[in-house]
Amino acid sequence: MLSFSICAQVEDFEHISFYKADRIAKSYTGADLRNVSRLTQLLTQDLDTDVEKLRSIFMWITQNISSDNAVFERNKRKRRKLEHDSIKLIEWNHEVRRKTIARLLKKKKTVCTGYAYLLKEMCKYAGIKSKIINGFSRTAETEYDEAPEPNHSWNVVLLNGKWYLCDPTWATGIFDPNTFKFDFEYQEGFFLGKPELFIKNHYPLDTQWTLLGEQTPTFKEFQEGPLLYNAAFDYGIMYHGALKMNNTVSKKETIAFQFDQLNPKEIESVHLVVSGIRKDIRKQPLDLVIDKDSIRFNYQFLHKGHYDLHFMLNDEAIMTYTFHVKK
Amino acid sequence: MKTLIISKEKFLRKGQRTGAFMILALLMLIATPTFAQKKKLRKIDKVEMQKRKAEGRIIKGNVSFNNEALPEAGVFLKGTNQGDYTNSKGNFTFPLELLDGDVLVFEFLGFEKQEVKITSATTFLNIVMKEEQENLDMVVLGQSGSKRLFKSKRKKKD
Repeated sequence: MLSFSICAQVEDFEHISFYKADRIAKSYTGADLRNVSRLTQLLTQDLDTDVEKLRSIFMWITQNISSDNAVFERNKRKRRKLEHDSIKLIEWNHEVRRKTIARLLKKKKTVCTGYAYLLKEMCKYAGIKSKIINGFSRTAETEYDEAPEPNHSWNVVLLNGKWYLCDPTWATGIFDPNTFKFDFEYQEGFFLGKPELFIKNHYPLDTQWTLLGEQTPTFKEFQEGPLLYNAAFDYGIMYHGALKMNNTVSKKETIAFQFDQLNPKEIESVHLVVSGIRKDIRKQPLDLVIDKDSIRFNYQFLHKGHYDLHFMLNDEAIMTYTFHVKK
Repeated sequence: MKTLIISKEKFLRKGQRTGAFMILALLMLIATPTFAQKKKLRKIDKVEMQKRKAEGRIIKGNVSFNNEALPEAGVFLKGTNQGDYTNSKGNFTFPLELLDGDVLVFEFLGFEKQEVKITSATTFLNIVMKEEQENLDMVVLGQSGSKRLFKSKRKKKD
C-alpha cells in the first residue's frame, strides 16, 4: 500500500536551487527532439539530484513545446462524428496516436497527452519513474454533460520515494481565445503542484492519483466547487467554507469568503469583478482582512438577479463563483 | 537520497556501533549517486578517431516500420554524441568508422529503442522498429489554460 503525504510539493525541495537546471534547460532551447534520449541525457547529465533532472526536463518541455490547438479542434469534431461507430473510432484513435507523436517530433506542437507522454519518456531516460494520468480538468470553457469524457492528461513523478504532481501542458502557457494564438507563459504552480490545490481542477480517472488519500473529494464535489484560474496556483489560494460554484443567496445577505494563502506572495490589491446582465463592475470587498497566510472578506448583493463574481488578486483572476440573488 | 541522509544523521547520533556497519553505511552513501547517475556522453578524441580511421569501416543500413521506411529515426553510437538520422527512404550511412564491438542505438519517439552490436559479420543493418504500446493507449482531448474569465450562460435568458 502506498502512503501519500498531503503536503507533497515543491517546498519539499526548498534547499535545492533550480538555477543550474533552469540554465541547462535554457541552453538547449530549440534542440532537436528526434533523439529524445540523447536530449534528455544532455539536459540531465550534469545534475546530481532527481528533482533537478526533472526540473531541467520540465523547463525544456515548457519552453519548447507549443500547444496544438488545430489538432484539438479537428479531433473533437471527428470523435463526435464517429461517436456511434466504435470500430472506426478505435482506428481513428490509433491514427491520432501516431499523428500526435509525428507532430510532436516535427513541429514541436502537441496536445495535453503529448506533453504528458514526452515528460514521461524523458523521465524514463533520466531514470525517474513517472506516469501519465488521464482525467478531468476544469477551465472557464469546460462543460460537463451527464457522461463526461476525460479531457486532460498530466503526470505523477516519483522523487525520493514520494509521488508528486506536474502538469506540463498548463505550465507551458495559455491559449488566447480571441486571437486563437498560443503564448508561452510559464506557470510555476504546475511544477510539483500542491495536491490539495491540484484537485480543484484536476480529477484523475483513478482517484489514488489525487495523492490526497482519504481526503479525496467525490467527482460531484469536484464539479461543484468554485472555478480556479492559473494565478490561484501561483499564489496558492485555497478556499474554505460552504460556497460553491453556483450559489443562491438573498438580497443584502452577508456572504463570507475565506481563503488560505499557501505561497507567501505579496498582495497589493484585492478586488472583485461582478458581472451582471450588462457589464462587468469592479467592486471592493467588505471587511477585508489579509493575514500572513489567509484572506477573508464579505460581500453583499443589493439587487436581485444573476451574477458572476470573480475574485482578483493584484488584478489577476483567482476564482469565479456565480450567485442567484433572490428577494 | 533523502532517507539515506537521515539514516546517516541517526547513525551519527547513535555513535559508533561496529566498524563494519559504518563502512557499509558510508559505502551506501558514496555509491548511491554513482548508481543513480548515467554515464556522461563521451567525446571522441583524436587518438580514437585515428584508430577508427585505420581499423574501422563505414556501415550503412535502413530503418523501417510495418514495411515502410522510417525517416528521421536517430542512429547513435552508444555512449557518445556521434550519430545521424535516417533520410526520407529510411537509409543511413553512419558518419563514423565503426569497430567490432561498437553498439549502435536506434530510436524514435513512440518506438522501442533498439541496440545492435557491430561484429565482423556486419555489413548492412536492416532495422525493423516496434511501436511502443503501453505509453499512449489513450490520447485525451485536452486544452491549454485560458485567460478568459468564466461567463454564465443563463444570463442570456434573463
